[in-house]
Amino acid sequence: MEIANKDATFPLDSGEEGREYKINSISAPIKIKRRLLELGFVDCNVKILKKSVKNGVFLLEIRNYVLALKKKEVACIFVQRRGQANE
Amino acid sequence: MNNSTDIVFVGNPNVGKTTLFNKITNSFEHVGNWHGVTVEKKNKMLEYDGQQYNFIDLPGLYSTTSYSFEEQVSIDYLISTKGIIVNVCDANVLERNLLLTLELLEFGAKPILAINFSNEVKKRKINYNYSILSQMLGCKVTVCEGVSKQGLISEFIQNNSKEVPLPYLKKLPISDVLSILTPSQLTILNNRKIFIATKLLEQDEFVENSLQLSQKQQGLLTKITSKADYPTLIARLRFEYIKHILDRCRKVEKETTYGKFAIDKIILNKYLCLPIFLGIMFLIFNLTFSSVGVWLSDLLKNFIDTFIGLPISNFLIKINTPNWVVGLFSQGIIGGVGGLLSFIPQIVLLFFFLSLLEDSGYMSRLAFSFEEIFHKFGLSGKSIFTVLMSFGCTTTAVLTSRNLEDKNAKIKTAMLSSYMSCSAKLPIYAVIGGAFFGKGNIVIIAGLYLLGIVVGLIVASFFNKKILKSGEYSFVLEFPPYRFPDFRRIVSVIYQNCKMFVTKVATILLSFSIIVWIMQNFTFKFEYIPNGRSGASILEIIGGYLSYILRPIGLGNWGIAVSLLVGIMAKEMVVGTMAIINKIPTTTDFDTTLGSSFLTSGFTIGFTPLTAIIMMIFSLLYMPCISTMAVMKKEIGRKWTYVACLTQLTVAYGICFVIYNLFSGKLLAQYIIGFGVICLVVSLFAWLWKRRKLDKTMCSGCCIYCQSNCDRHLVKSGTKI
Repeated sequence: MEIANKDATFPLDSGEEGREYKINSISAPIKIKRRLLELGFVDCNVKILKKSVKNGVFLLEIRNYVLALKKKEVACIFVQRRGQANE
Repeated sequence: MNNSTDIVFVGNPNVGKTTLFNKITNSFEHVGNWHGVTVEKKNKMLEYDGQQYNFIDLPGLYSTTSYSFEEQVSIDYLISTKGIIVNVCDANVLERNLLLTLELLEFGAKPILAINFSNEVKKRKINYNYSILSQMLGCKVTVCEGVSKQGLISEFIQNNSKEVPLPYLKKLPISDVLSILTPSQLTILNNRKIFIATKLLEQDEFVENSLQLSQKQQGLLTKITSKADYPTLIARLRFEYIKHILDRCRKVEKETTYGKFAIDKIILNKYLCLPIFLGIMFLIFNLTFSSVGVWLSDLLKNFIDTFIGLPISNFLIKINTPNWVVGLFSQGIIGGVGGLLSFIPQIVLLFFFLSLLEDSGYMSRLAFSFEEIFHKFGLSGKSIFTVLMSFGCTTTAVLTSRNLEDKNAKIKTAMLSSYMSCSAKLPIYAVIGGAFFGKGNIVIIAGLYLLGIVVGLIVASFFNKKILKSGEYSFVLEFPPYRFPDFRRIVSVIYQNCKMFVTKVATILLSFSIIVWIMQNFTFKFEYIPNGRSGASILEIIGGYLSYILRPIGLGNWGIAVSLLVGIMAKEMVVGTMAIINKIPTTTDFDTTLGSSFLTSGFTIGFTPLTAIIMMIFSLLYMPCISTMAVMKKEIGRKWTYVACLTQLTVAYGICFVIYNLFSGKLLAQYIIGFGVICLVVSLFAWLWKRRKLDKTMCSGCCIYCQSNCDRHLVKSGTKI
């Protein structure tokens, strides 16, 4: 469930499909952290386009391209709410 | 080679490096619209204006930090090269691509920027001023679309890129980091100082290990790196600088997301993704193995027979050539090899459809959809690339397993690939299945494809549970846009594969056909056996011994045993050898003539519908061909290749044994009892072995020391290792 407080940070894997978030920080082992940073997960917005059937894989929109990541990595990205659900 | 200049193509995955390489060097390296097609360094020498140039295509990189074997190959090469670096970029995702460019500049590389897909960007209403981009980065920028091969070469050999200061570096403690290193350490990585400093700040293990920092140096470095979150800071500074550059050289009329399409809502839908995939595969199989494929195959058969087979046979008879020469030609060469050529249309269609899938952008969507399913079997969603490529050729498909981040998943994927139905197994299904099941054979073929996948996944799952457990690996997959297939590329893929097939037929298969024919028609004393006599030929004697092994699965025929043995060299040879053994002389209705020979008792090799199915299943599963084994050995090592082959043989034998005995009812009781006894003996040994191990580690309480702390007691309680 997404955390209700708008300003609070929470892991992206608890975000909702179709919603855009602002990336706050990355908390992960250095190897994963570096990879996520190189892919552009810093100082920008990220949108969850789709979650797989069992929420194991996330399809994300970031810096105008689309990327699939596993839940383990998505959970390392801490975000804040931004904008409204894009229904 | 020493006088040549290296021109190295480097860039993010799926930006068109290999397409550019192919265009310039007239090569036919594998390309596709999915992430990680190129898995090893490719190079080709070219002469231009009297000078030798060595063009090199490297596997894709997101940065100069490696996370996989193929990325390390690229980085090692970049560190050591003194050649011209061409940084290939996709104009659609320039923001992310320029991150590597900045790292190359930090590297001191002075790259040339080669911009691909500039037309696509224009369609997306994004305009770039490439001269501003060039000015700000100090790099020469070349837009690749619409430029001829010669034009591109002349652009790449004249590098006027210059070093420009990167302002964001001033915000990093570069000099502090460099001051803790000795002069000799700085030379280790080709004196690339800024690269070394930034990588140390980013805690890059490769650079840390290469420099072999002393404890004191490590302490000083930790003191510097603990002052800030440098990995994040460096990424932030680089992306800020990229934004600063793009704000000046890019004009966006309409914001669109690259790789995002409305149709994905249907294609990635949890209820529809699998039916859509199965529907596409059914359509491919129907067109390839049933309607269009069969019609084209018949056309080619008639052509070969009318214009090659019959005229030459008639000519040989007319000039009174000895019988054995006519036999060798009509049965050994035309019967064994000529018939195989008639499968070219089906191979063409199969590669045509696989190329369509590769070019369309659908493969990445499949990897996303299959990730969770494959994860249950200890595989990655990206293993679907290997599975689909295996339907074409297993040998090349094994290479795609390099894409996988997890080593164990890579081994399992490579193993899985040889359970798939490759195009070389096609003649077996067409001939044997066609003879027994007629038009219904399409269902049998589809079933065999499915069986290969299911058995492969079960085996992968077994290894995942017992020996090759996959850890929590990464899964990074970029979604490319849907693209219309490039028909020139498809034609070249088909041409290359047909060329490979015909070359294989004309060399390996022809040689084996001749060897098989000689072995069948001569004795060990090398006496020619005229038609009708049997029992004394080399092949019959060898095959006779082998057939004992295959008897429990219903294939106890010397001809079948020999065909399967020869099939290990190349799977196409299974049918070719059968044709030689059954003395099928011409290509006219090769498959129907050979097929009907299986139904006639007078021929050496005969089948019943049940043994026909068993033969197809055994051929599907029993062993990879020798070239696949060679690639597997290179990719996953000798040990796992042996394990893969033995497992396949056991699985194939086991499945066929069960099917044969279940449906034929022959000797079932004996086999069940025999199997039961074997199981009992194996279980007994396993129990004794386990007990022996336990006995070694457990305290039996039988000696005086056990009251306190004997070695065994300590081992058991975990206090002593």
